[in-house]
Amino acid sequence: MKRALAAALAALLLLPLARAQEIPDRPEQIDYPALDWTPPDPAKFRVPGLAGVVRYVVEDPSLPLATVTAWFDAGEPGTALREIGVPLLLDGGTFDRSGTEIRRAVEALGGRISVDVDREWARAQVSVFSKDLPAAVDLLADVLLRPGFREDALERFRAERIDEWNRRNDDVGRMTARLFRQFALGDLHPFNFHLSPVDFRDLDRTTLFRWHEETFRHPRELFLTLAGRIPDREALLAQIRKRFESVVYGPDEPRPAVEMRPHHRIFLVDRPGATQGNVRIGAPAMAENDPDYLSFLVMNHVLGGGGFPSRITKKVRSDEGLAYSVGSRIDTGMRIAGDFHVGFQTRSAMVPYAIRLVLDEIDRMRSDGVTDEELAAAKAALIERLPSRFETPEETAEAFGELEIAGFPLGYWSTYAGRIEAITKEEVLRVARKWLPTRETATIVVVGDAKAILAGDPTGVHPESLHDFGDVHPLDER
Amino acid sequence: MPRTRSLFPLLVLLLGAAAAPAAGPAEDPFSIDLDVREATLENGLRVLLVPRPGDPRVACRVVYGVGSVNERPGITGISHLLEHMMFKGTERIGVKDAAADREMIARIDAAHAAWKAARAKDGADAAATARASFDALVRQEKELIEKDELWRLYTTAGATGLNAFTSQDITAYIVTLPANRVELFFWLEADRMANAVMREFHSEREVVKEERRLRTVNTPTGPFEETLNALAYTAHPYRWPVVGWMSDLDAITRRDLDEYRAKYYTPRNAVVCLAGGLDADRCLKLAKRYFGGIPAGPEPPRPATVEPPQEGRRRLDATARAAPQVRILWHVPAFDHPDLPALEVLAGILSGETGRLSDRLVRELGIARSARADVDRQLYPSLFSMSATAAGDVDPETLLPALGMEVRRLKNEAPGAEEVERARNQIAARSVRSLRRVGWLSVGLAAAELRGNWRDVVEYPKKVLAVTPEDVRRVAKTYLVDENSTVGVLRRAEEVKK
Repeated sequence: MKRALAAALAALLLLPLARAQEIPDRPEQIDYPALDWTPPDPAKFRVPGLAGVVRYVVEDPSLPLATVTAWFDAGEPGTALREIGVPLLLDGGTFDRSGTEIRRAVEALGGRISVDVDREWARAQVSVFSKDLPAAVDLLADVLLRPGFREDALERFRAERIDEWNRRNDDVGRMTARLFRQFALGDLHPFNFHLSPVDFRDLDRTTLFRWHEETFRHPRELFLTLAGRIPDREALLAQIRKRFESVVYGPDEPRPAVEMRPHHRIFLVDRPGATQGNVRIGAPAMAENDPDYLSFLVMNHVLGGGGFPSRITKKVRSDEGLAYSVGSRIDTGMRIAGDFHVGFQTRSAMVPYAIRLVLDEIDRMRSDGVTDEELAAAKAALIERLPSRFETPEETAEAFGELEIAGFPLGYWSTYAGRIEAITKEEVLRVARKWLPTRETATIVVVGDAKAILAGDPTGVHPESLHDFGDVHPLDER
Repeated sequence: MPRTRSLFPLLVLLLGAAAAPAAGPAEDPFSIDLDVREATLENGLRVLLVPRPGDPRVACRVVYGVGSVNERPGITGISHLLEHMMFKGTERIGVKDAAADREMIARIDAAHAAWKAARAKDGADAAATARASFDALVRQEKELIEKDELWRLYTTAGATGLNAFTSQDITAYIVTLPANRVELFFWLEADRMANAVMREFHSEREVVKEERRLRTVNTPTGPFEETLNALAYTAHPYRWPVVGWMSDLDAITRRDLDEYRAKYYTPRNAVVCLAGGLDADRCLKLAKRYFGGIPAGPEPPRPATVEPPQEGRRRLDATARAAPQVRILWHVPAFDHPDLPALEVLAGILSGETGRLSDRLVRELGIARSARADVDRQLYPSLFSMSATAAGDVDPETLLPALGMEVRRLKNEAPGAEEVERARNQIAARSVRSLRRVGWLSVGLAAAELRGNWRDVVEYPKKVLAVTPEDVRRVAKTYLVDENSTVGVLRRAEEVKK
């Protein structure tokens, strides 16, 4: 009995040891099997010929769901008519149904419909159970090609946008983002367009119908993508061809150049009583179709875009406990260049100190670039995350649609990993020096309790002042 | 009003119920057949595996049955603070010399206590001296630690969506990995379940306080919503915010965190769920290898407090620099009560751009810009809410009778069959769609398993599809009653520049 007990005890003692022996001491010692995956090739999903409007069909029979998406050029970015006309394609109803009736018809099928206008392009999308796909296509064609622009919907839309305009500064974070873009890119930049009461002054249905005629009769760009389970592909393609046969593509005229007018100074907007200062620091950046974009992306991953291990996040959040949300980002378009910025919020007294920490990190990147280790980690992160871009058939169709919008070659994704892999430390340093702002060229926007922010750290441990970084320009809310 | 706080402001997953694929095109599109392999290890850890052949990614989650509902006054916010601290490393990760770091942690805590005492009693000079000593030790500790190593290990392996979140009921750690790298998840998560070290505590506490300022204090409606929620509950722990009260965040100690972790971060109180391109047999072996040696831990204590029945209408009048709005809250039962599906359909009928509230308040009367209804599906009895934002200069008070009229309509007359069907189909279709996303699916399954059984994600949509118009009328009459309500009216604090 004693011997049995001893043996059992020994076995118990040895069990964790045996188990421990199977577990590597460090995660780096894990031996991973190979992953056999390459990005889906758009050429294999492309519908031959442009005349049929449908550009890609990404079939996936695993679930009885399907999505049809129309991508279209709704006019020059930063113009009022596209911002008003696109949402009203749905909300304004069609010849025979109101927007609410259309939505109800889709919802009754367990589906959903949306129309969105983005900075550079517009999209209309219907998701339904696959059996209802033909009905969804008809509905989408109606919404795009036979809009009603009903008076009551236009009036409601106008009132909503005016309320939005009047309440635009309620949220400090949004106000900071808007003002930063305004000063970093200049008033004339299309990303700085916001609907205001003046845009509705002379607007009527006739103007909207004229916009629609110009946009959809001879569109510069209009194509469809289909994703999911497609029950009868050929019949559906024929149906789409018929519904969109009136569409005749117009010439791809040159687009107007975008003008950047950055203001290199510090803007301080007073929000008395706010316990945090909301800060953005940055400068104009490049568009996604710029040759420098991927190298800058790698640089940004190391600087502040790669989560906790990135330099700015580590310094401001992890080391100093100054902010919850802090990081850097390239906020740009596929064709139209936007901005690079660092954003954070911290308690008022610490704003100058945190700004100094961020500017120090930007200076360090501009002067020294990245280490071999940082470069390798950034490349690995950007390459290994690529499969997440193609998780669902809808996302795959979206990735292909974006290639079209950006004017990228079909091989963009298949060569992506190789292009990231080829980026060198020297290249990262070059783009950092070319694009990152210096202390003299940075645009800095701070929104918060001006008195507390200007007073700085009352304990004197961090003696920085906002004035250390340049002229401080007090600003009214606008 | 389930509250969720996450470690990093990247994304927040909602606990949407997930459903499953229909077997064939001719069948009912709402039918559900979910391939879940399940196992319970000897230490009580439940493992759920959902293979999706061909998927190059695997969504990996470890979810603990602990949230702000398990807290008490004095340590509110500790569940969420602990979630942050769990990224600070273990005895093996995030540290160069674990023994030296342990000593340093004790010295840092002592120095912090001395600084706190000096601030309270000894004046500015003594406090400055004490702070300098504390700061010096914090700087010294940096030499002993390997900053954010867990993040580096995950991200260089191609992890996406690395994050965590805390709700009133659960705390979830989430990451998605390339399908060949799942072993890394088992290594790192078993290690931090067993060996987490609460290092860099004082700076991380400041991060959480900044999060509270960012996401509640300095938002247009955060203080209003927080106060209204606290008013709706008399006794139950759902009354305090997940992020905690500021004074409690200041009072929590490292020892509190260690004790709390020992109670709740145990295999018997956790579910590991993976979904994607995985080999289920291999994953189960990995689960046993890495988690199997961790002791089961004590039975976690459950909150004893039960919310007493509300005895009359409550009201909050507040002002803020925000769009004028109203919100009405009613108490409703917990997730497993048979009335929940009908309450969900009720919310569906009222909500959305085509719902009754938008129809009446936005389009017909033109007094609201938006209006909606929601129901929480929580572990303990929770809330049904209706809210509306005023149009232009409309007095928010005028929204209340309009909302009340819609409640009366629902009590007096059952909604039409077509209206109910539309709401049912929307809810059930949402469940089917969520199948596409292994991230949602895996959290939904784990949360359901912690509530009782993962099959709830399959069964619940069926219950929703069985709701009748009369069910909707009955639950409206039962729960949406005046003495069970809490009303909040938010007026604009000042005239702002237009």
